[in-house]
Amino acid sequence: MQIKIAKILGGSETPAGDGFTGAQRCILVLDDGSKRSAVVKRGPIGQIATEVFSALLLNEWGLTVPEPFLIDESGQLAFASADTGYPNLKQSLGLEGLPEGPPRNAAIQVAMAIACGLPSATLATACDEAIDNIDRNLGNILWDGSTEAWIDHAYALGQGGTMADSNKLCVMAIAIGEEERLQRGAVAQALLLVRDKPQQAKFALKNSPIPPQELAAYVEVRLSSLGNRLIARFPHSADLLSGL
Amino acid sequence: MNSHNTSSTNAISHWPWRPLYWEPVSGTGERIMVGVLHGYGNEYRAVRTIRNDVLDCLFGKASSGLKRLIDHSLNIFQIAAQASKSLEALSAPISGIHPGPLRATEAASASDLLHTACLMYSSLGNLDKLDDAEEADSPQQEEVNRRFGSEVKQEVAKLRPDLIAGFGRGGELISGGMFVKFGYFSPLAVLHFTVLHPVRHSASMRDARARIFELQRAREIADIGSAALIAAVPREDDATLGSKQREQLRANRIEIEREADAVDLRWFAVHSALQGAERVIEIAGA
Repeated sequence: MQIKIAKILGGSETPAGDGFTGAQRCILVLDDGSKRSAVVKRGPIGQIATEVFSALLLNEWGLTVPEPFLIDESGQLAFASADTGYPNLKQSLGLEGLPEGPPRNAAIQVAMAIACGLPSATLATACDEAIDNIDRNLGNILWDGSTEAWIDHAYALGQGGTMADSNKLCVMAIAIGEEERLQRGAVAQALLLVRDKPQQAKFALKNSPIPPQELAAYVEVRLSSLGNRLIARFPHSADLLSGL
Repeated sequence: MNSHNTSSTNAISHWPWRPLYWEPVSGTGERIMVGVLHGYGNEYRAVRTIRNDVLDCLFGKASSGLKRLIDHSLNIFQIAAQASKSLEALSAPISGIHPGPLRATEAASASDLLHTACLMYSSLGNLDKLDDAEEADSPQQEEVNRRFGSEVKQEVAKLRPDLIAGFGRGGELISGGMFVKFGYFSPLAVLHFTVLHPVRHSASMRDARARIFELQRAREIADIGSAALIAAVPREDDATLGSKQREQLRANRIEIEREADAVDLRWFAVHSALQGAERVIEIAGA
């Protein structure tokens, strides 16, 4: 399956809410003339390529990520993620609207418990580790009370710049005392990730202006040691050999 | 912002609140009121006011998940309000819930405040159910009675420690029947404690009637001279009561008094644990 190229319906862009910095809600017009509600993001080509490749790959691995589209704006590429179905009732779990300090700290505990308890949280943890996504946060987890979706992968695959190396779902699980469950689940999911999916995502970009070779290679290197990488994200219990 | 008046006994207090609007599809601006964030009695709560059947009707199979989503978002607002002990700063949207303007209105109870909020901002609230919701959220009648009985016991302990042994004792009301505990039980007197609540009318009345029956049976079986029901009731001039609640409470008092009279049982209405303790000493400590 190849990545789809779409156009933005003129005059349909409006600012998106939290979770998409600088993002715009819009209506996409597909090749067959059908319309899809979507969010469009513009930025450096490296981040656009990362968004598209990550969305294709994570969907191949079974994680729910909105369907990606490329937008060709007179040679300038943009990334769009389309809503699945209508209406899209998913909301971000982000708490940026709360004042900093005790109110936000208290609420974050509850939101982290929701995030770590989502059915696909363990798969998302393994996927984030595989694509080196250091920017997972409550704001890029969408939930409608029944199902979840995972968005915003622009800072994966080495695009994070000076951001600290972190798998934030692991950090959340540790903060709420759910580290054991998440670690077991994520390591199990890591073992089940099909190893040739990066090649399939690369193939999906074959006819696009994005060169996917390096992106696929980046993930394949990490896949070879994914289990160990995940285990290293969690605290270790002391044993007789500790410190030797 | 009006100031809270928590101590006045001759004026109804103003309490802060915000209507909470839900934007089902993020970024569209299409919103409906789903709840109220309030600080009635300086206790901060977020309450869902939209009816379940409205959500079912609007969103079909998705509604059960949406109730979870809305309740989660309201919970976030409640936790944040409790942490900051204020609603002032909670003006930005969270997970699709957009707070409306901060208001402070007169309210005699939390449900009274919710009524006002729904009348002012909502077409989809369930006004008839607000009292029920509050009743379900409040402690059960048995727990309220136990708390009152414990407070009376503490006061009696200060004045007449020799009477303490009678608290929480009981016996069988029919041969081979279950053990029934009384508020106070001794060879001289058998007493029950109850609370006539200004909101939970029906539960309070059912409980008081049941206790009258138990006292009547105990007096017959054990041949105890004095049997009485001691009820905690709010003062008539309690500022937290609305006029309807005051009228209902007065009617309930008269009704229980007449029912106790009909079976020749003594009935005392008290406004504090100390007054309750004085009645216990008067009846059982003679």
